[in-house]
Amino acid sequence: MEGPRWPAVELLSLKKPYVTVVDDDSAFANYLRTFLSLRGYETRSYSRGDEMLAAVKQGDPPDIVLLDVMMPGMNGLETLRALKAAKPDLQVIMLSGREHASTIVEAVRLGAADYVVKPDDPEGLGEIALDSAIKSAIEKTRLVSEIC
Amino acid sequence: MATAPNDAYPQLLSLAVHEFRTPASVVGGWLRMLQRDGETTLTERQRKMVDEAEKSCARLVALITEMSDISKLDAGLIFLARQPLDLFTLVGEVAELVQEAKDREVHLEVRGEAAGAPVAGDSPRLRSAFDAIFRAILREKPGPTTVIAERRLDVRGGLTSAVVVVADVASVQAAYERAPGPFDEKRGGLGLALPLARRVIEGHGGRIWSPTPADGAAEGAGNGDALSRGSAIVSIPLGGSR
Repeated sequence: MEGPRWPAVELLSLKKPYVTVVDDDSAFANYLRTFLSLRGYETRSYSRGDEMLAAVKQGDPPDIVLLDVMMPGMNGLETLRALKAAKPDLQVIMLSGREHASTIVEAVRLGAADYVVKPDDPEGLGEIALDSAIKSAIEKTRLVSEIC
Repeated sequence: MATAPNDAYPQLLSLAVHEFRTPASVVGGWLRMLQRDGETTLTERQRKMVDEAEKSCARLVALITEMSDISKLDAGLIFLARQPLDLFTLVGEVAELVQEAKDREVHLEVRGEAAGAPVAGDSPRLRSAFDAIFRAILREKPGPTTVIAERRLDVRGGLTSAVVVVADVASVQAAYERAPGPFDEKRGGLGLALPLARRVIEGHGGRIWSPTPADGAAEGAGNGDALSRGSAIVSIPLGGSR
């Protein structure tokens, strides 16, 4: 059975939404990039928070950042703080295998658009939740750009 | 500063959960993509292989979820709900749904008080706990038999508790009267459901035990040992649990 298509994503803009995955686990990043590519997103991955931050500072910001919480060097929350300082309107979705309430609260306080547990359920509901979070963040970006 | 042993264990478990969950996510994700890939049609044989791999992946994910629950309960990061419920009714409802060992004609029958055990508790977690305990006992039975889950109220020292005795039809009273021994939660095929069940019961101020093996009962043989492994008794105080 072919996976669901996401016409809403393609209608939002003529260009494919650009999503970056920041995760030190290359196997997970590869899987996520393939999953997102199949759903019509342009993707890139970084294995460290500081690499992502450098890309943003060099004028290559993505539409959406999927940011792992536990990473070497700058962890996810530190990276989130730095990204929001460099580009306050950047939509960052935190992605983690842990769902500790304190981390979620801190991420939201720092300006994360959403917090999604790494998809691991056999029914694929986690993937649907992730895709929904991405679409919601894209919609938020579109609304902000219409106002500004 | 060194981490105290009591803190180190849940932290280690939490880290293990995180480290297991990511590769499990990846394996499951690739398998789902393979199943739904519109460009490649799998043969029937290949589809069955992917189905089996998905089933094992689902087991792995369930195990990780149980490990996560244990780690969070031990670390005090999640709290059990305190909703009013009737434990005896709950036990009856859970028993109706248990399918374990029916292929060997091992049946579970509920007896005793059908209601009248008000507890402030976490219904979903108690359901899972009793489901695991019932399945653990049913799995011990080799052939056609009836296992009883007997519900009774027990008053000791002014405290009334709801007691559920799970034992072979001929051994319910013996299991209840025998001195309490530890319940063996290291049984294969149930994942971490039993260690989780014990924590949930203890979280309700209760306890789970098995009858001690009879004197002279050899490991893995004899009635005393069979009674010990094949029985479980759960006691939870009525009213507001701890």
